[in-house]
Amino acid sequence: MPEEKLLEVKNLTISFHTFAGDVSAVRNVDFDLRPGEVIAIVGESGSGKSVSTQAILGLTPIPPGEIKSGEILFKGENLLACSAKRLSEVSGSRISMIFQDPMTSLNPTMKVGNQIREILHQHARMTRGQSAERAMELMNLVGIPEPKVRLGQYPHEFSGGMRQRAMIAMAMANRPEVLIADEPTTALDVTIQSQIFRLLRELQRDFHTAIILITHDLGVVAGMADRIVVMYAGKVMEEGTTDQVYYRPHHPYTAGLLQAVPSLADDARKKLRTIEGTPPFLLHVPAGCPFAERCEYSMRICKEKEPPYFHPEAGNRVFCWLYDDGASAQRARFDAREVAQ
Amino acid sequence: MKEKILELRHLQKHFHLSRGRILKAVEDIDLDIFEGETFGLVGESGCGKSTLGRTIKGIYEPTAGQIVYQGKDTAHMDAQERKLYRRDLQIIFQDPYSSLNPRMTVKELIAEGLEIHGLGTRKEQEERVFETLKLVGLSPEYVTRFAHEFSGGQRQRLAIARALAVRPRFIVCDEPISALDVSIQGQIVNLIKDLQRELGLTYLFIAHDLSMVKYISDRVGVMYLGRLVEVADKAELFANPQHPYTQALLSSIPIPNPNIERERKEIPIEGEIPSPLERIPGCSFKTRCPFAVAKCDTMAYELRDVGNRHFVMCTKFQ
Repeated sequence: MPEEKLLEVKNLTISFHTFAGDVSAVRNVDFDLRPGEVIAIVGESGSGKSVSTQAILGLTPIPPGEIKSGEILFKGENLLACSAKRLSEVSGSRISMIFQDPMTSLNPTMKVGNQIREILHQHARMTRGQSAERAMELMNLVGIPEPKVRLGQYPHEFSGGMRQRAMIAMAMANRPEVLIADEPTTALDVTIQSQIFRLLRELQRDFHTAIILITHDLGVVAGMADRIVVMYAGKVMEEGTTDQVYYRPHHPYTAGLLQAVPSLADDARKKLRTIEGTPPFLLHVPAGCPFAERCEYSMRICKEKEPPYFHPEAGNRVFCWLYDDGASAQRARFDAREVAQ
Repeated sequence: MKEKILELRHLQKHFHLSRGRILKAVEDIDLDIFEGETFGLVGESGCGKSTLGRTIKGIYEPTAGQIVYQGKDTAHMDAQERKLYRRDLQIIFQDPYSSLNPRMTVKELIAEGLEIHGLGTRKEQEERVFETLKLVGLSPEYVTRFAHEFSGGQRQRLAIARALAVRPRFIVCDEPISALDVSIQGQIVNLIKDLQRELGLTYLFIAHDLSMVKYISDRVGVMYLGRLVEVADKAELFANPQHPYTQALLSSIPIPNPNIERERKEIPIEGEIPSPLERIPGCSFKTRCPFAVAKCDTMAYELRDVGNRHFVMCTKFQ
C-alpha cells in the first residue's frame, strides 16, 4: 500500500464466556483504516461489528469477554498490549467514539458544558477560560444553536438529534485522528439522520478525520463511505470499495442484503427478495461458512470447511468458496442471478 | 370504489399531564380507510402516528371526534357490537420482545383472543392455533414453547398469529418491522402482504421507513405534529409530493446506490420537530419550512383536494 495505515485490526478473535458455553462473537477479523478515510462496517445484530470496534478502545467487558488472539495497531502501536494509562491517552484524544443512544452515553447529572470541558482537561493543559472558549467553539462546530445557553443545560433538556451533536462535539474535542461512530443515527428520524450524516461528512472533510461507521443498514452509507466491510456471524464476509460492494457484490450474503431492502424505485407487485432463515447461534460455530445454511448457492464444501479469502478483483476480498476454481459452474449461476435495479 | 371500512371524523387524542399541561398527540384527523387496502402512515417520532393507531384499536379513549366502523359510530355501539369491533380490529406492535407475555406458552398466547371472545370449543381452539401457526409460517410443534425461545423474526410471526387467530378484518401494524434485522424485515413484509391477499385484510401500516411504506401501501398519509398534512395514492405521493414537509422527508431518504446517492439533492429542513406541548397558531411546520410566508400564521386546518385523489394541508393551496 502506498499510503501508510492509521489503524490496523489483525486476526482479532473475541469470545464471551456464558453459562451455556463460549460464544465466539468475533473470529479472525482483519480490517484497516487510512488517514482521512471513511469505512463502513455493515452487519446485522450479532455479526460482531460492535464487538470488534469496541476492542479498539479497550471497551470489551472482560470478563465475560476474552480477547483470544489478534493485534490492534494504531500507527504501529499495539493497543491490545499497551498499558491502561497509554490506552486512556489514546482513547478520547486520538481515537474517539460516538454511540447509538446518546442519552445513555451522556451523564444525566452533569451539565453538557461541563462534560465537554472534562474531556478537554483530561487530555490537554488548559485554563478554565480556555476550556470554556473551546467548548463554545465545539458547539458551533457541530451546529448547536445558542451554544451559551445549551452549555448550561442538562442532557435531558436536549432533543435526540441535539444530544448526538453534543456527543460528536465531545468526540471531536481533542481533534482525533479516528472517529468511531456506532450506529450514530439508528435512534433518530430520517430528517435528523441526514443532518447528522451531513455533519460527519463536513468534519471528515475539514479535519481529515478518519471515520469508522458501524451500521446495520447498507442503505445509509452509500454516499458516505469509501470502503465497506460486510460482517456476518463474527466474520468478515466481503470487503471492497463502496462502488464495488453496491454494484458488483461478490458474496451471496452481500447480494442478498442489497436485494432485501426495497428501493424507492422498486415495483411493489414484485415480491421482496429475502434471505430465508436466521443467522447461526455462535455458541456452536458452524464448521464451514456461517452463511452456508441460508445461502442459495451453497455447495457441499461450504458446510464442511471455511473458505480462504479470495480476491476476485483488486481491492476486494471475499470469504466464499464460489471463487475457487472448482466452483465455476455454481459461480456462473451466482453471476447470472437476476439483479434488481 | 371499495367500501369504506373505517372512517375517522375529527378524531382527537389529548393527554393530560401534570401541572395542567396538555399533550395534544392527535389533533383533528379526518380519514377514510377502504376495505382491503393498505394505508401507510408515516411521520417522525412524536408526530402522533402510534397514538392514532392505538386510539383506533380502542387502547385509548378518543378525546373528541368519531371512529366509524362499517357505518357505525364506535361511541354508540352496544356491548355486543363493541366486542365484535374489538375482535375485527387487531394490532401488531413494534417490539415483539415486549408485546408477548413471557410466562405464556405459544398456545396460550394465540388462543387468548379465542377465549376472550368465546370462539369455539377447547378442541376447536386448539385446531385454530395450529392453523394460525401454519398460516404465519411456524411449525405447529412450537405450541408448548415460550416466547424467549424464538428469534425476533419468529416472535413477530407469533404476534401476527396472535392477531390473526380471531379472524380479524382490520389490522393496525404499528412499526412491525423496525425492530428486526434487514434480512428478516423482508420475510415479515412478504408475510403481511401474502396474508392480505389470502384473507382480504385491511391494514393501517404505521412506519417511519419510507421505502418500506412505499413498497407495501396503496395510499399514504404523512403526519406532522398530530395532523395529517398530505394524503395521496402511493405512486402520486412519491412522484409528486406537494407539502414542503413531505418533500423534505422524501429527499432525506438515503438511496442505496452510490452514484445516485452522491448526487442526491436534499431539501434541508433545519431544526427538529417542536414540542407538542406548545402549539403555535397556524401551520405547525412553519418554524422549519423553507417556504414559510406570513399567511402560514392563519392557515386553515383543511386538507385541500389538489386533484388526482391528492390532499394537502398547506397555504400554497388556500
